[in-house]
Amino acid sequence: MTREDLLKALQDAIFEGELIEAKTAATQAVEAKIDKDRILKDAVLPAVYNIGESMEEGDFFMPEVKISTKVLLEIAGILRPYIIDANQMSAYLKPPWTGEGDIDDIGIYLKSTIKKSMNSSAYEQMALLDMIAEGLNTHEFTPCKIQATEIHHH
Amino acid sequence: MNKKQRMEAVFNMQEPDVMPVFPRVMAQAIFDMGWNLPDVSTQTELDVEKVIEAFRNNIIKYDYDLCFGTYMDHGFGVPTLGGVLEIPDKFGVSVSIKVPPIRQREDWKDVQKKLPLDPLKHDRMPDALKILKAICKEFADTHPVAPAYYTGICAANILFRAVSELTLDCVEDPEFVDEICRAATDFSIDWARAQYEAGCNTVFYLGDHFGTELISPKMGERFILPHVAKFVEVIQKEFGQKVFMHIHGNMKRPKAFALLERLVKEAGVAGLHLDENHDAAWIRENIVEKLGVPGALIVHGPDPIASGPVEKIEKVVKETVEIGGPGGCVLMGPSCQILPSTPGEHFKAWVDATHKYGTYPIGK
Repeated sequence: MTREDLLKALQDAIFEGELIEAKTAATQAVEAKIDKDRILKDAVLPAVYNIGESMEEGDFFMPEVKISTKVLLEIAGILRPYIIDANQMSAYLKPPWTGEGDIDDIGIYLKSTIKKSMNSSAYEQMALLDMIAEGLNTHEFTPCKIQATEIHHH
Repeated sequence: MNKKQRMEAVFNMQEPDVMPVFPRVMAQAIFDMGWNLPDVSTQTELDVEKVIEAFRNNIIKYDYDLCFGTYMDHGFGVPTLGGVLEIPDKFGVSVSIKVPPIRQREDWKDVQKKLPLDPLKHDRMPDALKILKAICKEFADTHPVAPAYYTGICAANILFRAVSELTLDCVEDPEFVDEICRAATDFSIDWARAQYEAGCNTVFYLGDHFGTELISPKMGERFILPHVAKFVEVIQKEFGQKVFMHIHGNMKRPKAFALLERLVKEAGVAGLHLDENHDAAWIRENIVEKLGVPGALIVHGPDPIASGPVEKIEKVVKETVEIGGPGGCVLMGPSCQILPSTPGEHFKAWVDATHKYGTYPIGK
């Protein structure tokens, strides 16, 4: 498999929520020492962008989002030690998750967050990936609950 | 027309004298008395006298039409099955499930041993039924008092399993989801029977917060549709009543609308209360005219009903009624429930404005 094929396989597996295939492709990319910028910019971040687009357009619902989240958490765990130097880890900080609202809103949030980060460093993009994976994992998508708490903003 | 006849006119696809209002009052009735939820509810008991007072006061004070006859939240049956409720002592916050009965899929075997739930015996349900009987005795001659609950995946969520885990189950173990949806719907039917036997006298209000918001329409065909169909059949057969369904999600998308159509045409849902994604013109065209069932015109709960001011509420109600009201077959509803922390003045302004601008004939 060429490096391009491997990155394409990683992107597709993340988007489709195929955990084993995504882990295999990410591990192979690390073992093949593919440039960390390329892994993020050519595979992982486009996959997250496509997930956001599918959420916005009503093709991804909560089951698909939960599966994608599971994959993103695993992939972040594989890529983090490759992208962030051991001596940087103690100071490593993720940006805060600021996504609010239902699935459509979070889809738009993911797209804009990814778009803004395309020229960032691999370190910053890794931190963003961690933020997105953990943010999606903890965000509550219960419509009635959203309405019940919305009043506090007024 | 009294309030009961008004609702009957809407569900018979006729023009009522005045557009009825359904606020879907849950915790708001308690907060409106200046109480917090621990003042009226523990894990296993409701303060019957206080809740009767709260609902009697609410129905009279706000003068809306379609009523609930007792306090309800998402926790009925949960403590008996081994779960724990979070009963917040903070103003405006609803009861939630702190620990669901099924934390791991393996817990299902133990939970099954505690089924079936008996509404006449288990946790807060007997108290809720006492309250319902008292309210029905006082109001049911003139007011429509609706029973309410959930079916399918939504009932499985509130009764057994947290949203995150349950939605993951839909992909990883759909047969397990089928099984808990069936069990939850069996309880829904028993709980509905108990509410009608306590004196409820109108349409069953069936909630679904999964809809096409949390799961896809395709999953809805599996985890919502058959359970609603089974439930509607029982309600029609045993009580001669119709089912009025509240379902979340953007129904303007073709696949979502196709599910809505199947819920009406195949499952027999006889009225729809959607969410704030749907304006009055869309409800009139698609629910009333295309699907041929009554629909709720929606004024968003957080803004303007909860946020106000009164002038804005009146303006939004007037516009909504003028667009969606002509021809009848509609009632007024909030986007979900009247929010627990809605100020009384705003609530009353919403009801009064609907009655004022919704006097028939509208737009002639």
